[in-house]
Amino acid sequence: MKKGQISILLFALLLCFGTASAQVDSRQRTPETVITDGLAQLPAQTSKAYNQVISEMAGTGQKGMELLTGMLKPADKAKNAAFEYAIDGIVNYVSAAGRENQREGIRKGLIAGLDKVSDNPNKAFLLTELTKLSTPAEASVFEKYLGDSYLQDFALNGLATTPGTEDVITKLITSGGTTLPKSKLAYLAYFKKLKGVESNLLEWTKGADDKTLASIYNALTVCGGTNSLSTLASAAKSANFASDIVGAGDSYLQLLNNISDEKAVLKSAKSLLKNNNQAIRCAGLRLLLKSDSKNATKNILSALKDNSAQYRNTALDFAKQYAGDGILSTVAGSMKSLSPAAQTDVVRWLGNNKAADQISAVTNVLNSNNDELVSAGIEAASKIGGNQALTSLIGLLGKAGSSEAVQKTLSKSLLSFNGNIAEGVTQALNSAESSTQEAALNLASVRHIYSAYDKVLSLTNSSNSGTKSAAYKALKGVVKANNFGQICDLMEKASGNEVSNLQAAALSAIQDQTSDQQYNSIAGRLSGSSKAALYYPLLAQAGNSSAISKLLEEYNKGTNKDAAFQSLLKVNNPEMVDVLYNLAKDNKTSQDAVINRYLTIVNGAGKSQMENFSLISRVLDLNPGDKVKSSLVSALGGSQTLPSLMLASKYLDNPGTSFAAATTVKNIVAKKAELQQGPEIKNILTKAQSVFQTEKNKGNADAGYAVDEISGILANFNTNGGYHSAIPGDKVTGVSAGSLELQGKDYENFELYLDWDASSDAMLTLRSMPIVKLAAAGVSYVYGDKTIPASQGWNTVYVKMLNDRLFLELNGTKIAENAIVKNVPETAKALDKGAIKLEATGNDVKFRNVYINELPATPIFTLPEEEAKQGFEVLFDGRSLEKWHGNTSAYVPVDGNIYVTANYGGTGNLYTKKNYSDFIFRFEFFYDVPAVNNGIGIRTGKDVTGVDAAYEGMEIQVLDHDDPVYQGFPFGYKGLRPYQNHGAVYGVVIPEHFPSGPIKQWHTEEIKAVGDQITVTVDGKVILDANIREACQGHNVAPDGGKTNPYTLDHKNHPGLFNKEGYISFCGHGAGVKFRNVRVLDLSKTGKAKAKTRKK
Amino acid sequence: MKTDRRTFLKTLGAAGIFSIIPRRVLGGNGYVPPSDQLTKGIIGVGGIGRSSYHFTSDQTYRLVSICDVDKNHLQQAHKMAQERFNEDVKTYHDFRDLINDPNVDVVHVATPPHWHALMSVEAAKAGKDIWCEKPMTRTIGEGKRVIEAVKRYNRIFRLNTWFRFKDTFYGLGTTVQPLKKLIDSGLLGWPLKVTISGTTGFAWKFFWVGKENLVPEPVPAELDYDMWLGPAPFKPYNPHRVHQTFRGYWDYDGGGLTDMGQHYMDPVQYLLGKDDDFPVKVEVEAPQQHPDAVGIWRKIVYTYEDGCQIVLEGEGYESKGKTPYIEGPKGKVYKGFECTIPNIMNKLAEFPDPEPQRTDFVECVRTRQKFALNELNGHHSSTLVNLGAVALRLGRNVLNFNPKTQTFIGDDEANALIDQPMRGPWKI
Repeated sequence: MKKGQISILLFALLLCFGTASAQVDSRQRTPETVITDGLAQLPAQTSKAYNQVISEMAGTGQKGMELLTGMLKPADKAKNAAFEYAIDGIVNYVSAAGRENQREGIRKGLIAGLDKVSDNPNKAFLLTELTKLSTPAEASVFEKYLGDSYLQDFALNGLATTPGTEDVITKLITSGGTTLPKSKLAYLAYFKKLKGVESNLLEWTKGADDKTLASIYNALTVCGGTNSLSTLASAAKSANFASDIVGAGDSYLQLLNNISDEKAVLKSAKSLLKNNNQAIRCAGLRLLLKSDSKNATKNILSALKDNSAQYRNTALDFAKQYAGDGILSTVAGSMKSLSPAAQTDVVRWLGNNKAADQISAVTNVLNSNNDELVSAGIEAASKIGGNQALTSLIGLLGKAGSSEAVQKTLSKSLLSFNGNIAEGVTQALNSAESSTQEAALNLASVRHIYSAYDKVLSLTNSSNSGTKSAAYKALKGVVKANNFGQICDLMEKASGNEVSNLQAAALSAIQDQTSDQQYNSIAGRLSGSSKAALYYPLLAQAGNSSAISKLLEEYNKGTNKDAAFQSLLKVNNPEMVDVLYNLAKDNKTSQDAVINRYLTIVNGAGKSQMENFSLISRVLDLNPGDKVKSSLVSALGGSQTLPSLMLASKYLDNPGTSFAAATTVKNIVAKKAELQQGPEIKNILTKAQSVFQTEKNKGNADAGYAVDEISGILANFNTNGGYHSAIPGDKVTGVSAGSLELQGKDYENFELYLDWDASSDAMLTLRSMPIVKLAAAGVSYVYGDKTIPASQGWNTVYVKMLNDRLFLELNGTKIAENAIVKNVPETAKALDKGAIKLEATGNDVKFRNVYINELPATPIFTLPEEEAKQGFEVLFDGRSLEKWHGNTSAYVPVDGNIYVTANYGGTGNLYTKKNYSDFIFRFEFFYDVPAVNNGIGIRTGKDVTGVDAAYEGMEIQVLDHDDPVYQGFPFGYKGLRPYQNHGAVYGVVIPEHFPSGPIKQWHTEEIKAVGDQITVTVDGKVILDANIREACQGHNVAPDGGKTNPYTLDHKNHPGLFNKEGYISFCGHGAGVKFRNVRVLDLSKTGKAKAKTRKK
Repeated sequence: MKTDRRTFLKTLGAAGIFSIIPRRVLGGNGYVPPSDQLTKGIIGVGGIGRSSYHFTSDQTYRLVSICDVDKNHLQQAHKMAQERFNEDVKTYHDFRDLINDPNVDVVHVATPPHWHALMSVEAAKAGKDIWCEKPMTRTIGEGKRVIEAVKRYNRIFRLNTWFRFKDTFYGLGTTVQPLKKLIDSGLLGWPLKVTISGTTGFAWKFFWVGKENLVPEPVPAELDYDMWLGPAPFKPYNPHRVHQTFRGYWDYDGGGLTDMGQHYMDPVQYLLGKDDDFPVKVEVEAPQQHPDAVGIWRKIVYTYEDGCQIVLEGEGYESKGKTPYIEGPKGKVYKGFECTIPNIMNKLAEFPDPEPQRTDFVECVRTRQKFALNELNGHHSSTLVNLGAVALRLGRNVLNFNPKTQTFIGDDEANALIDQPMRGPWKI
């Protein structure tokens, strides 16, 4: 394969098939096939897949859409989801910009479908879809359904939202030739904002019923003008603006808002002000301000005298808009003439507008004895900011006679003050009033005004007890590291509440230092101190290894055991995981608290899924209380593995943990499709469902969703195979001398999980061969070079054997991945099934939680009788790549096939171990993903690897060449050259086109190479039979020695074209192609073939 | 027997409800005279309306009426009010009757989202103040209608999600205020990227998906299905469409994205200072959506003109590794206020707190000040939700949006979802 060139093509994902005229697509598929293929892939799981599949389906145009609509069955009888996905997907796809020319066919298909489907829900669905693409030309389709009571609304929507249907609708309204109720026609007029139907609408009001009137009045709000005012005004007035079904009042107001005749609006507005409903008065006031800008200021000032807060605030809300920015100073200047309530409104308004120029009007109210007004003033001043505001606010701080509520507002407002408050607060600290000092101390602390440290410290000596206590509390906010010593001195001398305040200050002083710096500062104090316990919280904050050791040392000393213990629970350091585990084991009484902390640390430690599993599993073994157990079991859900699932399932029966367990079980199984298999997991899931059912019955709605979700999983559950317990029960299994053979049967392909107690060594026998060494010093496999140390206690081992590959993990760490199995000993048969045994190699050893998932045995390919007679050799029997070398990482035996995967890295080609000159090479291939690309390299020179077979030998192309990405590219690329098609001698000979058809099908191929004659046969048909020497007229390289060779199709030199021999290879590692039944007949060793060649 | 407030007012001859300064503001003893009481009526007393968050009543804010189209809900709620608050609340079947009940000051809309806008507008027309549950509206156009109506009658509107001003923000492990302070301090730099994901503490509740192939079933006697559907297109009844599972259908809601989205994104809009702004682009990566039943998605990214981004990661599709909640050019902050800037709390202490918000709804009604989360910023965060829903429903990977006109650029079909016609006789 030629990777460089092909990869450019892969960018070309946007593909247009052209319109309905195409009978078949590039894969030679009929619309029927395209639709069937597409339906199988819907709903598309990714945007990329969606664009691919739907673009192909959309390419079938009218024909495809007719097919799809024809598949819709009455909703109560059949499942239409797949067709709905397809129809809606296509419609949405072509509705995007740039796809206009694809719409006509789809519209026609939808309209044809509308005629054919019989039931209303489907008709409604198709009308809705048509609406998304419709043009005025489809108006008649919608009109047809206007008389149908079920479909009427859907048809109306079509008419309403189709661009350009204004004329059609106007005609319906003016001609009177429709049975459609006037209320519906009026709604259409409203939706389209039709001009020119006002007189019809007004005419219709005569004698109309309420429902019709409602719709007409509503339409007049946008379709009407000054001419409609009187009708709406009188209707509104006679209903006294009631919000009844007719809603004349609101329509009248809307119309007034929408028309530009200021005089008419003004007149109406004035009368609205007299309404006794405040909301109507507010609406009127806005209209008044809007329509009479000349008098806006006057009107605002007068509104502020109104008793209604709603009314006053309406004036303020619209003041700037209709009276200009100058209104701020005008209103501020009129404050004195206003009621306290109105003043409050105005002050808030000035604050909301951050009216810095009017700050005096705001600060003036701070001296009022109306608390609400003062509070409003404080908040407004704080929003506005500036020196004057700050000075005034500080002046209020702790002011005698000021209420608690006002002081609370003041503190809060100063903390959010628009500007720096440090200077003001410092000033207040020096006040003579202790209440002012107290308030300022709090502010200095919260705002970290470090410059106030000395002052705060001096106030700890205040004779006023309130100030003194506030000063101690405030220290923590103003200390820095250089105050640490002083604070510690005070702390050791202090008593009562002061100790905890000073401790908080000490913590704060060094908080900004690194853990090590903190520890050093503390250690310096601790060594000489008689009050060690005072420093424990500081050690907890430092939290480095030394601090942890020190705390443990103090804990073990026992004099201040509890204090040390409490501090240990506060350390935030991943090292605490083991410390806390040991503490939990030792402290039955505080165990739950310790495990809670343990879980917090584990969750924050960023461990792998299996590490988390082990860490959670070991504390569950300590049997904490149900609440803690529930937290732990919930946390297991973060590790989506079989061991987590199985462990969680053990907590389904206990009512105290069942909900957490059910949630974890559901979450793991839902996210891991490979676990949706087997009777044992099915039972677990069913049990979880019944837990949710019980919760649902208690009224937990979300549990109802969980019940549904599990039903969905169970509906697609594969009941065969799957993981199951290999040892009955979940008891610890002791294996003493000898071994335990699983289930007493032989296994070929399988996955196995088990927990092993690392206190004794063991050996795992797989396929009757001793393979995995389990030792405390490390876990390894006998022919591997990697050893992973085991953890203390229980370890989780995962083993998978599949064909010739071995996978091994310890606690989630990979030891072997895709490693090729070996015979142990040499005489063993590594590929054959055999026993699995857990063996003790020394002392008694313990295992538990042994789960096995037996995978299907691999089908083995054997030669047909005739090929056997002819002397063919099997190169791949389904299980092993033993006859191959090179890139065995990307080429893997799976289900009897060579599967090309990108999962395990690996680059380069896969080569036979032998060289071949003349041969017949037979195999089957399977395109698993669209556009996939590979190739068969031949004759690259004796024992040569790592070269480009297309030039240093020959490459017989393997390519899903009919994939649409290789056709008609939007970016100017002209598509594949014929010499790149499947079966080509790449760049040299063009094959006959082989129609590859849909992907995911097996094809047979034979490549015969005899001398210069190359023959390629696919699916029984010869597609290439050529003499390579003749194909390039003997010039495999340019005669002039240059880079351009006029004799080859790709105009390149092919220096290896006439090589005599070489490995046969699979070229390329692009994932998604499979090969099987690979065999070869070496013609150089059969005289008959040689003779034949000579004759020719 | 309780004093009827209206009678009380009449005898007093007071002009306006709130012209008397309530005693409680001045530090009264807890007794609230009927003249100072604010009253509410709840429309929709199913799951949310009857939950402890919303089904409340006290001296200052009293529950007096309820409405539901399901007789069972109405009965249960009536009984609950009796048991919990000793209130014999009035019950209504038709929300218009509740809205026009003179005893109701505030209309509390707790229905599925397809009704939110229509009921809010109707309440405004009747001169009522409004408390509306999230998501504010089902379409962008409906949001504009609500704004107009609230403005027309100068009403107080509260959109009910509250994380921009209180409570720990789901699994983030912090309230929003310190984050706002951090962002406003400029220490993280600009522009910012906010990731709302399982890894940052937010669950998208993908179990709230709809079902395909719903088989029509008879409507139960207690339910007025036609009224339940209201402005939504008629579709045959199936129990999964209504009540607790309505979230799974595009006609009424949009799964976790629309039902949790405003809870999750409104605070982000506030944090980024985008209360007056809309994104210019929304990008979506998702499986194909069914036209009726809501499905899941992998990733949704909103981009503002200045480069700020909101990234939503679907459940099961979270980025690997440690994901910052907020990421700026100068720093990142993770769950639990873990910040890459050393000693961040001490540094922040020196900055002013964020400007206080008005968060006492009763006070806002009384003083006619806008509530912290109102129809204007609420419409903006509701639009975030709806932009994502439009892109999802149409299978668009990218939609460009013009914040000035509030329309999509170059996509007629997306624009058609901005104003969706209602099923008659409903209109807005």
